[in-house]
Amino acid sequence: MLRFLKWFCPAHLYEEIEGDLIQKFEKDVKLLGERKAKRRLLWSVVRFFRPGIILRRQKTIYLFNTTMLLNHIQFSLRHLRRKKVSTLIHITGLTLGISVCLFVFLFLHQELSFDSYHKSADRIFRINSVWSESGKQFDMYATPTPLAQAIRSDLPGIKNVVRALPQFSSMIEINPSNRFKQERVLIVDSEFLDVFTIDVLSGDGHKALRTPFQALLSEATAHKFYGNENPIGKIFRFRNEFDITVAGVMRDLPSNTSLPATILLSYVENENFLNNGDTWYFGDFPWAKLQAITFVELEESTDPETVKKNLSTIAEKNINAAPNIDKAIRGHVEIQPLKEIHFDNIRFGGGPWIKSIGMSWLWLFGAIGIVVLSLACINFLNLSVAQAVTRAKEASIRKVIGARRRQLIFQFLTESYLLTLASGALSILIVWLTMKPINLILERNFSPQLLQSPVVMVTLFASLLLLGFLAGIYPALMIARSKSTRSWKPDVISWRTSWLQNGLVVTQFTVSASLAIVVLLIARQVGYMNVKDLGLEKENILQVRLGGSEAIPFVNQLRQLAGVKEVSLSRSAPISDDHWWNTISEDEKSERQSVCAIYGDEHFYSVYGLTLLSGYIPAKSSDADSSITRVVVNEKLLKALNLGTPHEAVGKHFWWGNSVEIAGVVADFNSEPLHYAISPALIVQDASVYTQANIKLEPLHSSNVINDIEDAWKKNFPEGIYESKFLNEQIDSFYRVESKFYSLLSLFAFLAIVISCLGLLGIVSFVTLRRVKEVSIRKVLGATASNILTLLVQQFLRPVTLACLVAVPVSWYAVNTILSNYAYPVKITWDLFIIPVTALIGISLIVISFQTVKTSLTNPADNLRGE
Amino acid sequence: MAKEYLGEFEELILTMVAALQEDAYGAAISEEIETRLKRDVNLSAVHVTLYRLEDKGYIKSSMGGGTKERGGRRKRIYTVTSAGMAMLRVMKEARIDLWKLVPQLKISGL
Repeated sequence: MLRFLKWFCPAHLYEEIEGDLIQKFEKDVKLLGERKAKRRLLWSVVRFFRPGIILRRQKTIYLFNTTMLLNHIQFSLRHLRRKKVSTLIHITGLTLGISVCLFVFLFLHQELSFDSYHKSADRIFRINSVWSESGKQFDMYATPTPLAQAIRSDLPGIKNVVRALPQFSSMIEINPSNRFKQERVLIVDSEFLDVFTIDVLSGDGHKALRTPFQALLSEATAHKFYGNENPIGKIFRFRNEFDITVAGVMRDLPSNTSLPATILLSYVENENFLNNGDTWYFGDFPWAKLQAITFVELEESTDPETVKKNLSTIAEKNINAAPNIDKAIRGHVEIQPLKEIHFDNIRFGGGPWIKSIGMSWLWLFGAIGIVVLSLACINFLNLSVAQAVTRAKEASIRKVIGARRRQLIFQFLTESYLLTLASGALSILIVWLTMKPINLILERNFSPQLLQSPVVMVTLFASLLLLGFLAGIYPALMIARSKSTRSWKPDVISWRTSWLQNGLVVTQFTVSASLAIVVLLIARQVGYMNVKDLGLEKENILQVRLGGSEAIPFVNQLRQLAGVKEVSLSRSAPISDDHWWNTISEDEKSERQSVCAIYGDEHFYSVYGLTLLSGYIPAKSSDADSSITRVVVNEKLLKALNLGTPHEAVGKHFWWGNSVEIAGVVADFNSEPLHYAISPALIVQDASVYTQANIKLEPLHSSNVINDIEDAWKKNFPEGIYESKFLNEQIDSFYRVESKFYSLLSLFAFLAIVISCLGLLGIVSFVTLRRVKEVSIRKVLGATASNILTLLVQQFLRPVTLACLVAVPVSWYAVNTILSNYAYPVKITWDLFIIPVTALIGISLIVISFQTVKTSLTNPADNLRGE
Repeated sequence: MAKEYLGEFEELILTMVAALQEDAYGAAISEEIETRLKRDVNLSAVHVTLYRLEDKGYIKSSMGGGTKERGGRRKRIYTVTSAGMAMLRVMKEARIDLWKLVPQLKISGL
C-alpha cells in the first residue's frame, strides 16, 4: 500500500506524509478496529494521488530532464555537424517530402471545406433539373425561374428559397472612358443574404436586393470600380443598357465558395436583364427555360425526402403536364445538399464558375502526398539504419558509462526530432515562398494566411511529432537493443539490415520509375493531341467576338486589309467545347440521335479548310420562296442515319425539328476536344446567332494586321470591348486540365527521383566507406580499379534495376487507366517504358559513381595504415 | 488593490497552524479540525493546503522529531510567518467590518 504512495509521492514529502498516515492509522485501529482502519488508510493513500502532491515532484524531474535533454541535443548537433553530407541529405529529403505533403494538405483542406462555412450549410440544398429527350439524359444545375415561386407557395417546411442567375463577362461602364468586362456577376433574390452567410459591410443589403437595379459590390470590386472613393450611391452601366446604383459593399467571398460572386444585383423581371446568354431551352415556355440556380433552405424539422417527393409533384404539374411541351421531352427536379456540389463532377457539376472535383481526385492527391512523404521517411530510416553501425560504438560506450536503454532511445529520438523539426520549419518557409507559382499552376487561390490557421498549425505540428517518432524509433530501438559487447563488431548489424535497405531502395525507385513513365505518357498524349489531324485548319485563324448585330460592314472592311485571306461569320469555331446540341432522326417518327449543330456562313468552310466531299455549299440556308432548310453534314451523320455514300446523300432529307435537305457533305472533322470521338454534325447558316468573325490570315502575316483588325473593330463597334483569340490558343485551352496535371505530376516525379537519388547517394557513400578496407585489401591482392568499380556498382544497381522491372507492370496499369479517358489515345509502345527506366538507371549510375569511383581509386596504403 | 486571496479551507488551516504552535503538523491539524469543528477532513487535503500556504509564504516548515505512534517517521512542523499573521489579522478585521453592516434586528428576529 505504502509502496504505491512511495511511487507517486515526491521523495522530500514522503516521510512526513507516511508518518501522518501511520499516526492516523494507529488511531483508527484503536477507535474502529483494524479492518476498517485499513480501509481508511487505503482510501487516504488513494486520496493523496492528486495533482497537488504528484506535481510537486515535477520540479525535480524537469531539472533532471533539461540537463539530459541539453546533453542529447548537444550530442546530436555534434553528430549532425560531423556527418555533413548525410545531414544535408536527411534535411533536403525530409523538407521536400514535408513541403509536398503540406501543399497537398492545404489543397485538401481547402477543397474539403468548400461551402461549409455558411451557418446553415447543412440545411441548404441546390435544386437540379434532369431532362430526358429521346433516351438522352441531361443533368443540369440550372432550373426554370418560376420554380422558386412555386416552391414558395406550394411547399411546406421550406425556410427560404432563392434564385441566383449567373452572368458571364458582363460589360460594365463606370464612365465612357472606363469600360471593361466583369466576370462573376450574380442576379439574386434578397433571400440570398439569409440563406448564405455574407458579411454586408456597409449599406442595407436586404433593402438593396429588394430594390430594382441596385447592387452589392464585393470590397475588391468596389476598389476596382471606384478606387478609394465611397462607392455607395455611385451608378454604373450594366451591359450597355441598365443603370445600376451601388447600394452596399460586402466582404469578399472566401475562396472556398461555389458561387464566388463579385457583384450581387437585385432580381428584376426583365427578359433582357436576366438573359445571360447561356440559357438552356427544352421547349418554348417559361418552365422549359433553364436560367436560374435555385437554392432552398429547409426548416430544421423538414425531412429532405418529403421535399423531394413534393418537388416531383411540382415538376409533373408544371413541366410534364404543360400543354406545349414536346412529348419526347420529360423533365423533373432533384435536390442536392450544398456541401456535396463541389464534389459532384459526374452529374450536375460545381456550378457556373467553379469546377467541381471528384472525390477520387482528392484521394489521388492525398495518396501522392503520402507517397512522397513516405519516400522521404524511407530515406531517413534507411540512412539512419546504415549509420546505426557507427552509432553502435557510441551507444556501447554510453552503456558502459551507465546509460539506460530508455535514455539511449531518447537520445536517438532527439536527433530524429531535431531533423524533422528543422525540416518542418524549412518546409513552411518553402511553401510560403512557392505559394504564388503553385497558385498559378493549380489555378487556385491559396493565401499564405492559410498556414497560420490553427487547424493547419496543429495538424502540422502533430504530424511532425509523429513523423519524427516514426522515422527515429526503429533505428533507436535497433541501436539500443544491441548488446554492448557485440556492438564493438559492427558487421553483425550491417548484415541484418541489408535486405531492409535494399527493400526500401526498391520501393523508392519503383515509385520514381512509375511516376516518370506516367509523366512521359501524358507528355506524349498532350503532344499527340496538339499534332493530330483534326480534319480542319487551325493555324493563323483569329476569332474576334462581334460587338453588335451589324457585322457586314465590319466584315467588308476586314476583307480590304492586307494580310487577311478570308473572313467568315459564325457562332463558334468548328471545334469548340460550346456547341449547341440537338436531335436528328430519319423522319419525324423514328428514333432520335444527338447532333452537333454548328452555325456558320458560306465562307466558314474555306476559312477552316473543311473538305467538301460532294454536293455544294449553299449561299443561303433557306430561300425566301421555299421553307426547306439546306444544311451541310459530315460523314458521321450519314452513317448515323444510314444515308449512304456522300454522293448518294446529297439532296436527301432528314428530320431536325423540321425536314431539312442535305446540300453537301464534308469530310469528318473533330468538332469537340479530343477526349471525345467525332460525332454527327451539321453546319447551317443563321445570321441571327453569329457572334464571331473568323479571320484567316496569310501564313506570314505581320503584327500590323492584328492591329488593323482591332482598329476596324473599334470603328464599327465603338460601344464594345475588343476580344480576340487564335484558334490554336483556344484548342490548347481545351487541354488545360492535362497540362496542369502534367506540370504537377512532373513536379512530383522530379521530387520523387531527387529524393530517391539522395537516399541512394547516402547509402552508397556510407556503405562504400565501410568497405574501404575490404576494397584496399582486394587492391593489394591485385584487383584493378575497374574490377572494384564493377563490384561496388553492381551491389547498388541491382535493387534499382529490380525496382524498374516492378515499375513496368504497375505503370502499365496506370497508363491504361489514364488513356481510357481519351477517344484518341496514343499507342502504348515499348519505348514509353524503356526511356524513363534507362534514364533512371543512368541517373542512379551517376549517383553511385560519385563515391565508388573515388573509393576504387584510393591508395590502399592510406586506408590500411590505421591498424 | 486585490491582494492575495485565501480560500475558506486555506484560512482554516492557517488559523490551525497559528493555534497549534509547536504541534502544527499534518495529522495533528486534521485531528484538531475533526474534534473541534466536527468536520471530516481528508489528510491529503490538509497536506496539499499546507504546501500551498508554504508556497505563498504564509507558513514555513522544518522537520521535527519522530514519535513511536508514527513508526519513527519525522513530522514536518509548520509555523506561521509574519506575512501569514498579517494575513490572518486582515481577514479577521474584514470579517468584523462586514459583520457590522448586517442589520442586528433581523438577526435577533430569527
